[in-house]
Amino acid sequence: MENSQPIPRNSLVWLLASMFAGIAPHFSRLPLWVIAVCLLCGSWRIMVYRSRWKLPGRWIKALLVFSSFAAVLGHYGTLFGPDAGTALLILGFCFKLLETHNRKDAFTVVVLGFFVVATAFFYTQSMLSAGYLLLVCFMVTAALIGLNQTPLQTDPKRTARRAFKLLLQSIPLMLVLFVFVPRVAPLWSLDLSGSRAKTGLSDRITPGDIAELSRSPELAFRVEFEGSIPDTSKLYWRGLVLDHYDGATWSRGVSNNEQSLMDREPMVAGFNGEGIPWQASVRFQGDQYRYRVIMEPTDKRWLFALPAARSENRRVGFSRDFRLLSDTPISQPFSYSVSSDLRFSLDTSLPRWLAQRNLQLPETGNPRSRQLAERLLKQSKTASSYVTQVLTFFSEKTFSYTLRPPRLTGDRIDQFLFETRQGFCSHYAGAFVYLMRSAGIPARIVAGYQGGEINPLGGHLLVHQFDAHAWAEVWLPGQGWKRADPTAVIAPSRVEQGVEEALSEEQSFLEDSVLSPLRYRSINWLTQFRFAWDYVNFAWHRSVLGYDAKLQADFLSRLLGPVDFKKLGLIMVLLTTLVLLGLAGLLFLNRRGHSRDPLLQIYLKFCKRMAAKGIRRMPGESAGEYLQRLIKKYPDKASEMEELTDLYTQATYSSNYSSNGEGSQQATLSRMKRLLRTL
Amino acid sequence: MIALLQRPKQLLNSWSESWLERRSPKTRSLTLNQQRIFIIPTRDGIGFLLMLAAIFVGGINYANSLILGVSFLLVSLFLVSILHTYGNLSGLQISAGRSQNAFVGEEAVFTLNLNSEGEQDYEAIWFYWGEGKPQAVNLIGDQELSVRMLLPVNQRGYYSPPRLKIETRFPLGLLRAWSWIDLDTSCLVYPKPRINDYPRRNEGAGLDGERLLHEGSDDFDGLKTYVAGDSPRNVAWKTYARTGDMYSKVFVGQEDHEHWLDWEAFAGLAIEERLSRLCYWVTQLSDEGRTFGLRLPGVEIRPARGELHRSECLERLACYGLGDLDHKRVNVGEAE
Repeated sequence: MENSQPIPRNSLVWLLASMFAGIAPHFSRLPLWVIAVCLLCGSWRIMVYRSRWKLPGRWIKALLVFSSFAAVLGHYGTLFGPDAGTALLILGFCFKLLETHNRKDAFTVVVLGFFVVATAFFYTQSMLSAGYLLLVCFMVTAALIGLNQTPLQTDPKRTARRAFKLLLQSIPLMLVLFVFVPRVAPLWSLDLSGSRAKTGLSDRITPGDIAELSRSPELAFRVEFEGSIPDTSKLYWRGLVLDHYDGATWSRGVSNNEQSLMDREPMVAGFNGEGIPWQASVRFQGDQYRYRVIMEPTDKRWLFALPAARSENRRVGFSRDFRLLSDTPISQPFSYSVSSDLRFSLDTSLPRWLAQRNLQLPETGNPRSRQLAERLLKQSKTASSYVTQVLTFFSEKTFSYTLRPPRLTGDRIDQFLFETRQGFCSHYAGAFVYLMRSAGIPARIVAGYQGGEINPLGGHLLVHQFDAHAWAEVWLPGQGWKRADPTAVIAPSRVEQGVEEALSEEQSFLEDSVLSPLRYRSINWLTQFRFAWDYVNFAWHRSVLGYDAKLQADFLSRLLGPVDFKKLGLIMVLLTTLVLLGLAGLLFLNRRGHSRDPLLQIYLKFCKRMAAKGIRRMPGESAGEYLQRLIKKYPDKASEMEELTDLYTQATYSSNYSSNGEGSQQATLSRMKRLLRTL
Repeated sequence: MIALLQRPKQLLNSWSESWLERRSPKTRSLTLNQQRIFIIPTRDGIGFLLMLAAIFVGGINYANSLILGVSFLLVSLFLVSILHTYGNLSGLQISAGRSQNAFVGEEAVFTLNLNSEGEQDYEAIWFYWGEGKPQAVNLIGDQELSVRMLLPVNQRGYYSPPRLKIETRFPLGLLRAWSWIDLDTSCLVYPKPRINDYPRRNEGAGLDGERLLHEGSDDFDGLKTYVAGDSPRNVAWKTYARTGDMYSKVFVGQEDHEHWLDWEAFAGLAIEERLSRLCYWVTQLSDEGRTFGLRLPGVEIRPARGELHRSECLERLACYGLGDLDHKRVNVGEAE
């Protein structure tokens, strides 16, 4: 068992297989040159295996290693963090495999292989990829088993069977650990830097952006309500507040000195249960809903919730405009519990700086819109009647809702309000806010999602990217911020039934996603299937990916009553022992049963049956003597009993029997069984 | 004071020795079970545990359930492999088979018979025995297997091999299960034969080297009825094939000359030297099918020939001066 022994071929085959399979899920994400280097190493190793090439020399290896380090540093700007770390790990895995020529090296490769499997879960956590990575785990295990076999053992299938058995037997124990090992808080804070392009809202809106999103059938998040689900028309999922307009694009607040602070979330508090300084600005007034949002990764910090929201989650904080924010960008599926009071008041008295901020407009431009605002303001006595005037303006003129609006240039608001009059939610929200601000009423754009689709199987709500929406919030004296959705005036069906219904004339719903089952919602069985698949994924997200400290505490306390660490530890040890004992029983008790000669077993069954009829086989009595006694008593069954006894004695004592092979033994066994049944 | 300090170690050694003896006494045959099997993680196993601890910390820090899942799967794999590694020894029956005597400096052959209890397969089981080369064995499909172990021997007399270590790391190499077995088997180690000319001047003692080497052992004289102990090379096989009766060929030289190998012929040499030279002649004369006797101080073996005679002479040489021969004799009967 020397470590310097060469690697059994059996193991190498599995190592190579697991290398290719293990790196495959990283392919789409890794820079091209990493993949090229991996493939080079893999094929080189195969050529060595086939004795065509030699293992690389020391200088080539050193060159490969150093240039890879430099390239990773150049590409990612760092050697640490999950992205650069994974790239290094994968390169290391390939290099180590290339230079592997003894057991010790091969064991290192196996360890790296398990690491590569684990790191893949940074980037993908779907059920399918989990299944796939379990398969890779199986290959790495097979390679490890191969390492410990003797060179005489060259059948890779045998190795695979053993690996399969081991993994299968490990799974019950894994489940026990998964459920019971306490989920503790992160030991130190980490940030998964996001370099991946994700579909979703962005923090600036040029009219037209949301139209792009509306073409995406991807899931944005799921919501599981504790009680009833509010009406679709009330489902305004706030995500972002945009309060700066530069004449073309709406974006998040830019500070007074005009320096871009896009990446910094200003005025955020409330993480880890800390107090919020502006808590007094919000008042919850009832109509409460409790729900859990399970969202897909966005690589952004903002979260989605109905107004006005509260969350106990320690990773969730609040912005000044009372949106929810996560402490780090959401780089993997994330779930959080929220309670929302649909009746609320926010900023009943508006601080001056905040008012100024929400009155910002470019100095010049859009003269006709400003005139319109002036005219409408003169006709209204109060701010709220001005709002009504503006909405009436939208409903009376010939505005239409479309995903294919004409292009706007120059004085965009003027063009939209007086010429094209075709647009999408962001056009309407933008024009609305412009008109409000022109009249000296604080207003802002809110971007998020509106509506959702209920999955009847899980009773949960699905919110897709095409549900992306933009609307406005306007500040009214004495009432605070109120929602105003001009789109609802122009296309009520958008808010009540969703974007598909609103676009039914235009036929532009998901026109780029021909393959998406969402496009064919009218086909019943397809929808059923989609809901079923979603339900399974929902369960996966909720019970597996979202199994965090809170869910664990809930689940375990429901299962076992109040739990503490001591009790949990005790239960875990107990269950682990039980599972292992059960497995040991399966492995070792089974052995004895098998060791019995099957022929003898059948013959003993025969004796037992005869004993029940009254003739017991005496100690020391031979099978032949016993047969004679039996025949005397039951002459009618003589031939069957004789044949059975003959088969048994011949098979057991005759020397030429064993040479007849498996097949004839099987035949004898089944013949004996048949005879036994007749008796 | 120093003696006091040294004592604990000695005590520990002798204690563990006696503990092993109690736990696993000397025996001809045994089945490995939980009483005899020890199991601990290997260095690889500890590395594996460190690795999965790192994965676990990663899973906790990135709050990633699936990465935690991988670490749990690997822990379970480790725990399950304890059972498998243990199972890869447990139930294995080992018994001492035949052993073959050897000359000093050669390797004695010991046979181990392995038997699996039931249909269990055993894979990659390593045998470490004394200074012999370790051997790996698979017991797959067939229920029985014999393993020939070669053990170098370098001292004449009765040789009992040390404890046999049976070890396995299969299937994952993360754990090492092993058992120490004291098998009750032994062999006789003959002196190392040293080629030499038989001293001439002791002609009176009965043996003339020259004559012995060159003179007429080939003069065929006739047949006599075979007696157990006659050299098989002298059996008249053709006659046996024809008639079914066993006869030995008789040669003139053999009948006529009864040679004596005498301890005193090598006077002046050291004991081991004398034994080595006598040993050479015993093998040489037996191979030639001659009749000879052996005289050692206090021992005289009357002239005879054949395998039995040869081994008796070799045994006397092997055990010369070691005493306690009769007691050991019982063992040799079993071993052969």
